[in-house]
This record gives sequence, structure tokens and C-alpha cells, in this order.
Amino acid sequence: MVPDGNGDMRVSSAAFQNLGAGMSVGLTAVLDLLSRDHLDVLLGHDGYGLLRFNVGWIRALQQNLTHSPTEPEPWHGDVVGTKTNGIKKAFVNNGTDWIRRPEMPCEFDGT
Amino acid sequence: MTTTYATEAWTSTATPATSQTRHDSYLLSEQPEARWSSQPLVAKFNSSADATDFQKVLSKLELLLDLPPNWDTYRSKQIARTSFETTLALLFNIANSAARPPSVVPMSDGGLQLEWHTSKADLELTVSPTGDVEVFLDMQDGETWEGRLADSRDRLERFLGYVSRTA
Repeated sequence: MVPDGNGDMRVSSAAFQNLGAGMSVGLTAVLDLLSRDHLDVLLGHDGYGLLRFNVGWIRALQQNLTHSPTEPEPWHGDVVGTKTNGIKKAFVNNGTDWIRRPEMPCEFDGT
Repeated sequence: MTTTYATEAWTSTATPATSQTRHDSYLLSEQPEARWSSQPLVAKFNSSADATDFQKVLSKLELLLDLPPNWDTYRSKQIARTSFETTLALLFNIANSAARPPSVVPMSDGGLQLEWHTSKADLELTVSPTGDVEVFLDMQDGETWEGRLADSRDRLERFLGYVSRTA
């Protein structure tokens, strides 16, 4: 999280980058199928926040969504596709639907 | 009040300059087309508040350098030494400009990102693990510019002008 210049905080575009196959996400459809709480995505990721994005909106950005389950996270998926500055900006601007805000939002800001 | 800080290229600790010679060497080498990445890491401030702001950013950078592998819990890499050194050089150039202090954020690939968000413009300088610097400038009027930052202090200061304290 970084200061947005208007007295509030916003997500850094650095949060929306690929590492490996793509950008890690939790798939709500799988969570619902498993009757798991959406906040379970944060298990093992203490202090982190959780944002919700619509799948159709993500696909409209020419990004593909894949289900890439891991043993501890059967709901794990990847948003695959090049994360240009424009794509990252779109994620930042639409990153307002918080399921949970980060606990320590100012840890790495420069103010 | 004038406060001066200097640091060696590979360290992350800012210490008050003890030698006037170091500062003089910075002034002597200051030319319009000088390469920003080869400048001595010396910063001169007009107020103690500016110096404090700069020191806070350096402290954040130092914290980021200590991040262990997998710091984002998604197999992220440690901050690369080359990325750190390039970011440090950028920060000293920023400190010597009229730009506000940036936010510093880690990248999961081992790079670092400097960010400014103002009512007029968003500016991001992304430093890759190999030290390459990418610029993304997003103006309020919708105009954007992106590309590799040329190794020219003149060019860097032009971008920093969009996020200056008076802009």
C-alpha cells in the first residue's frame, strides 16, 4: 500500500505482477464449492489484504484465468497474461472491493 | 539549514558527511548531461525536514534489503543487490532534486519500485533485478509515457519535475 496523494492509501501496482505462471489468485467458485470462507485465502499469509475482482472484467483485459491448485490451497489460480503498465493500472484503479484490508498498510511506504 | 548525507555505493546506511571534499566533488561533476548512475552518493538538503524524509526512505530501503526469500508467501525472490544499488543511486538524485520523497515497494522478482502519486500525475520507476529502470508516467489528463530510463540526469530530472514539491 502506498499514499495515493489525496490523504488515503492505494494498492501499489507492484502487487499486480506475474511470478512464474502468472499472478496468484484464489478462485471464489472453488472456495464456494468446497464450502470454504473466502478469507481462507489468507491462511498462511498473515498481515496481507484480500481484494475481489470479477472474472469477466479480468478476461476483458485479455488475461486468462487458470486453476492451478496446490495441496494447501486447492482454490489457487493464476491470472495469466502480460502485465503491462496499463493492465496494472486497471487493477489498481479497480482494486476497491476489499474482502479484508491489509493489517499494516504503511509498512513500506515512503512517508 | 543545510544537512548533507553521503553513503558508499554498496551500503544501505546513510551517514552524515564528514568531508567537505566529497560534497565538492559532487558539485564539480555536476553537468547537464552527466550520467545519473555514476554520481557520488551525496545529498544536500535545505531543511532538516527534507533530510528526515530522505532518511525515512533510506530506512525503508534498508528494511526491504533484509526481506527473506518468499517474503510475499508466493515464492518471491530476495531484493537483488544490483536493484538495490541502482535504487540507492536514484534516491540520491531524487534527494538532490525538487521531487517529493517517493514510496519504495519491493517487487516479487527481486526488483524495487519507486512511486509518486499526486493529484496531477502518477510516476513509477521500476528497477529490475539487473538494474534496468523502467518509467511509467501517467498524467491526470490521460497522457501517459512509458519506457526505459536513459542514463541521463537531465532526463531523470524532467520526470521528477512532474512530482516536485511545487507541482
